[in-house]
Amino acid sequence: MDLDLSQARLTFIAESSELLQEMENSLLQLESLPENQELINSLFRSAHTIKGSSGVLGIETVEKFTHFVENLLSKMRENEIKVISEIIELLLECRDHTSALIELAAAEIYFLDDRTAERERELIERLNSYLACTQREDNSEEPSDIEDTESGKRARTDAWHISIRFGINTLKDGMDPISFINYLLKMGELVHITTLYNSMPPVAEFDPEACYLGFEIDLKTDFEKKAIEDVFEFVREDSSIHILPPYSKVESYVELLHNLPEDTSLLGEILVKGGVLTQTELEEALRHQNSGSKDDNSKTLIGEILVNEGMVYPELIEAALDKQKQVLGAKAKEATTIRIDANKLDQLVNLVGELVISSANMDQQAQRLCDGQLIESASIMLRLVEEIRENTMKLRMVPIGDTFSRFNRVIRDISRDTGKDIELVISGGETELDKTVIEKVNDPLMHIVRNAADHGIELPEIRNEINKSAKGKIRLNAYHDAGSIVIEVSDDGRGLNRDKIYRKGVAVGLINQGAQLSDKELFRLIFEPGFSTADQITKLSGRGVGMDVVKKNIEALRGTVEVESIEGKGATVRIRLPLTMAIIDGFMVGVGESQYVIPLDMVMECVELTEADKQASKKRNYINLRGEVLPYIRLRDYFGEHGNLPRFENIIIVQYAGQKIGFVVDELFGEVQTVIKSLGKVYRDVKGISGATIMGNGKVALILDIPRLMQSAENIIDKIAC
Amino acid sequence: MNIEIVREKESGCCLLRIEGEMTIYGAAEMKEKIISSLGPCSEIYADLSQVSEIDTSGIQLLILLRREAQAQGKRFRITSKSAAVETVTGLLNLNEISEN
Repeated sequence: MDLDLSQARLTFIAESSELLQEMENSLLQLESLPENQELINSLFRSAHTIKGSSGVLGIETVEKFTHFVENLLSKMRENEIKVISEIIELLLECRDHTSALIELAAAEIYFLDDRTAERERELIERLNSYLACTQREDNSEEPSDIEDTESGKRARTDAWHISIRFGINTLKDGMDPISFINYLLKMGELVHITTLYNSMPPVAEFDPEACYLGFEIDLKTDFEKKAIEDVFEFVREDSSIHILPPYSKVESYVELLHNLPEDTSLLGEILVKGGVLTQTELEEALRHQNSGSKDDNSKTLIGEILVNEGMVYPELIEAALDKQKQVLGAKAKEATTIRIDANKLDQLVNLVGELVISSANMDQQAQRLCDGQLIESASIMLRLVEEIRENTMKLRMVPIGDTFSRFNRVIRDISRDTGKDIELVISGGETELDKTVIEKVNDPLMHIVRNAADHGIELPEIRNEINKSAKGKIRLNAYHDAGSIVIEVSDDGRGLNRDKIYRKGVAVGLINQGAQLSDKELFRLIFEPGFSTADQITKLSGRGVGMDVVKKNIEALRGTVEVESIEGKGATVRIRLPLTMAIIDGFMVGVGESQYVIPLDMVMECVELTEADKQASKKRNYINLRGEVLPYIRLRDYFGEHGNLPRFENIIIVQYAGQKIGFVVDELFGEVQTVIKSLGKVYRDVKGISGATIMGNGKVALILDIPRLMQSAENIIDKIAC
Repeated sequence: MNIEIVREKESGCCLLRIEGEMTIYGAAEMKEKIISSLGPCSEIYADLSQVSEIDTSGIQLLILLRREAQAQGKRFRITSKSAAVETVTGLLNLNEISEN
């Protein structure tokens, strides 16, 4: 039993975090569209599903709390409670609390610590204060609801009548009818229950794992029909369920009796026992029904009957149909996506990596043997392997939009706490990148966005004074650029204060007094660890809180981060990340005896280093490329390579983050598929190398770390710029 | 789950003592055992005081046993129930199955 549940529990945790995310999105939208009924419905559904599944799984902490949330939402759905900002606020807090509860449940902790319990009490109190308001109104309204214009004898009971025959496979599907009954118990008062077991076959045919039970239940509850129906959501398909509202017409009950498989008189007795009908009413009604049925032979659809009887309102049926459609939609979605263990995916990527290496080896062997047919086979295989590689890498790609939209909440909360008016503009959400990268970039992004909102954007009054619109803007943008993905966080706030950063830099000894620094160099200081202590935030008006951590995290992903800012106009933080972490297309070059790989996306062109340039470049480290100044690095010198200098040297021009730089190499080998193998910790501080790869012939080639090489060449670049 | 069946040959009584879980996981095995317990005896007493958990399948088996006993004209009686059994039979309003 434990085993099955733990599986279901994992699914529950994964699903509820999605649902909670949906709730958050809906709540945020609801703030601007308080009249939108669809949003409220979706909120209710999410809360209800979480409650339902936690109930079935026996996670009582979650179930108990979401019950209150659901109550409030159901009142909102019925327009008894108006959507106001306090309620949205409260619901957001409830959402957070639910998420905390689920986290606890995930850690298999089922008791609440004092703080959480205190928080829960407070939230429930607030929820109840809203619910209590409507309760009073409710009582006055209720009778008018029931007094129908239609005549006809009505049952006197104020209880719902639920008839359910569980499907034969209910137990095998991992559900237990008892837990549903238990659940009903929580919705209200169980007036009467009769367990029916007549459908149990004789011993020989009795399957101990099948479910033969049915129940006739009378339940007093304030919930509406849909809520009761929803209790049985998971078994609805295979089971037969009839729910009659309180004060239904006697005929409705009779109709029900006829629709049930059991003997009519037996069921009638049950109804009498439950206090739904009196004996005489039953007898009368049965007689009436019998004579009536002779007159019309046409069978009416049950739905029509229900509507005619005034038992269900057309909108309820519509809602039910909607629900069915949704279920269908969800099923279709289920069929097209499957959850896969990330480890399996990693394993596949690793294997494909090995495949790439071995097929490269194969190709080389074929070339060596000079067998035309073999070469052709090998090259076909190489092409296929390349396709496999591309597809495999795509498996790991997810759009960044989901990550972006989470910041809506962050911005909203900061706006509220600081009294600022901030709008979040998202673009490029469809840009895809590696899932692991997305996960790791979340924290740094959070940091940057918080900084922008907290310290970048000014208060509305100040913005008005300096002729900016009162509403501050923070933009999240993502796009692809030359083999890397760029994520930008820009704001139209006050920007970075050059002077303050300069003074601070001098004060902590990072720069010398009087040093001339470009904006770029200066702003880089905010990523230094010394710039992030608390008392400096106020002096510096923030900007740099923990930015060193941001930089470290981004660099761990082989990415770079930079800041651009115009004082008074705003700042942009730009993160550049490699597209994938595992396999890239590379361009192989040779220097001396060694081989190096440059990410192909960054390679712009290759030119020969002419004799004239060679002569000229003895003194300087740049050449004239079609009238453009191109700084370059001699890899031979940079890596201390030996070996004979060839007659002709080549210069390979790469571009990264809008900068061009040349590398002087001996030989150009061309395109290779490169499986990135990370170097050991020992080599972590080796500048200019980001990893290694194994080539077809078994030799190792080093992968150049272009961003870092560029940084080390920056002095040259800056000199040229001046 | 553990089922102990004690038969007293002289009186024709059969004592059925069930321990542990009466759930779907042991339902198939349990059905065989309890139905076989019906065999030669004339009266069946079930001691459920050591049942730690019971689900719908367990309840169904009790109903089956009672019905079968009834059909064969044998006396069936649940002598004692654990809290777990008591809760479920109470919930489902099935105290009638205790005896026939």
